[in-house]
Amino acid sequence: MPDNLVKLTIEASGGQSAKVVARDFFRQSDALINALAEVAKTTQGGATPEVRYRIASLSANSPAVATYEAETLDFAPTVNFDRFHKAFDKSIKAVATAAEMPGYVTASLLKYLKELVAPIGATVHTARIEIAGSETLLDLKFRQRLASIAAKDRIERGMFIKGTVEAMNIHGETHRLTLYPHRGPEKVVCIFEKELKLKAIESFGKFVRVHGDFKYEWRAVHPYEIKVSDIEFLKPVAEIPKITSLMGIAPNATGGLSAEEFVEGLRHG
Amino acid sequence: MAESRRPEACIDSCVIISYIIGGSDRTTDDRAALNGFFNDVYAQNVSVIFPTILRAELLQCNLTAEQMGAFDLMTHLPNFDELPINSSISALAAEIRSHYMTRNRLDRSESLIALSDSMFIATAIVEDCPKLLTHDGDRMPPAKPRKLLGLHAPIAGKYPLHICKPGSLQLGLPQ
Repeated sequence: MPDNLVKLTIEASGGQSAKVVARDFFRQSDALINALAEVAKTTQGGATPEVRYRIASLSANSPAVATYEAETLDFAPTVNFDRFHKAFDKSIKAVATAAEMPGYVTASLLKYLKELVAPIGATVHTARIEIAGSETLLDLKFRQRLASIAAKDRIERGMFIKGTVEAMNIHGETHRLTLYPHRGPEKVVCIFEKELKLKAIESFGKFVRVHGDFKYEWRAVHPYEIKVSDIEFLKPVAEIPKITSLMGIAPNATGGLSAEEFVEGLRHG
Repeated sequence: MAESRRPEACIDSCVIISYIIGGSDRTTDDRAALNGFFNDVYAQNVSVIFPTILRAELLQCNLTAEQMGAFDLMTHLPNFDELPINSSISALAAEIRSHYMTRNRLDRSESLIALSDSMFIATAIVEDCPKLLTHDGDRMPPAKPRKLLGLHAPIAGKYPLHICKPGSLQLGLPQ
């Protein structure tokens, strides 16, 4: 099978003549595509993959078999499908067998895989994924193993992050805005109390630093949600003094020591 | 492919401190490289991060409120990002220190790593940053057990972080 193809085979419960429930087929297909996108994102250093999947072939006879063909979006640089399809295969095999989950298995990947195997044991007997020259069986054992992986969110207090406020919902009792940082997470949902409503409205479209308690998915490096304690307005770049104004601003700051000697003294006494 | 959201460099406290004292502690070339680096930061040509420990160490320089304010304004630049220490950074810093401590106990093949040093290294690694910029070990007496510039990838046996002195894009650096 070529590097850019992925095959999903779904066998319905109830014997060879049983047909796959349409809703389950679409649910599992969607979950697989999302799981693939998550691995692509991880292998690309957190950037959203500019990849989509087209249906290359489809068979409704039991089992239902769908083959998806990956392609790079128009005008986007070519993606090495072999690399990230192998990464996907490695991830799903780790989920199936590893004693300890490796770092590249993310909470989002587990979430999509759980969605993918949700009908297994009910309307679906088994599913198989063929990718990068390898096949993985998704059965009840795989589903039970996924369920046993404790992947809980964590909360860290007193954090902060910069970004631009580009979306907001203040309808009724809802108080949330979406922050788009320049690096790190693509976006972070920020939930604030009504006391901060006016400040939040003022922040719309502006570059700010949001302070608060960060919520992280299991193992995630960047937060996906913030319980906001404050919004700090930052100067537009045009109003920030030229950086050379810092050069030599405090010539005696180290008492004549080199910077590294000064820092060495702080760190080692 | 979308633009990478990884920072390009993490800076150690001595880099900013050297800058605020005017680079008087550097050679002519290193001073030029330091200036070039910060000009690149201001022009937003490079995405830089640093852990909040840097601010704490900068405060030890007894800067006036005005001088500290000038530094604060720099952190308003979108590409000059102060990061709080979270549990991922703390845990990795502990892992790094433990690695070198174990090696030191086993065969003395590695020196120990100071707590703050490990925090800077861990911040860079957690944020998937390829470089840590420092002057630590550049022109220092050999008394210190471990100099950051003397650490080579793979850090702690597995992380591909490059530790080097700051440089500028214009001068064909970083090194």
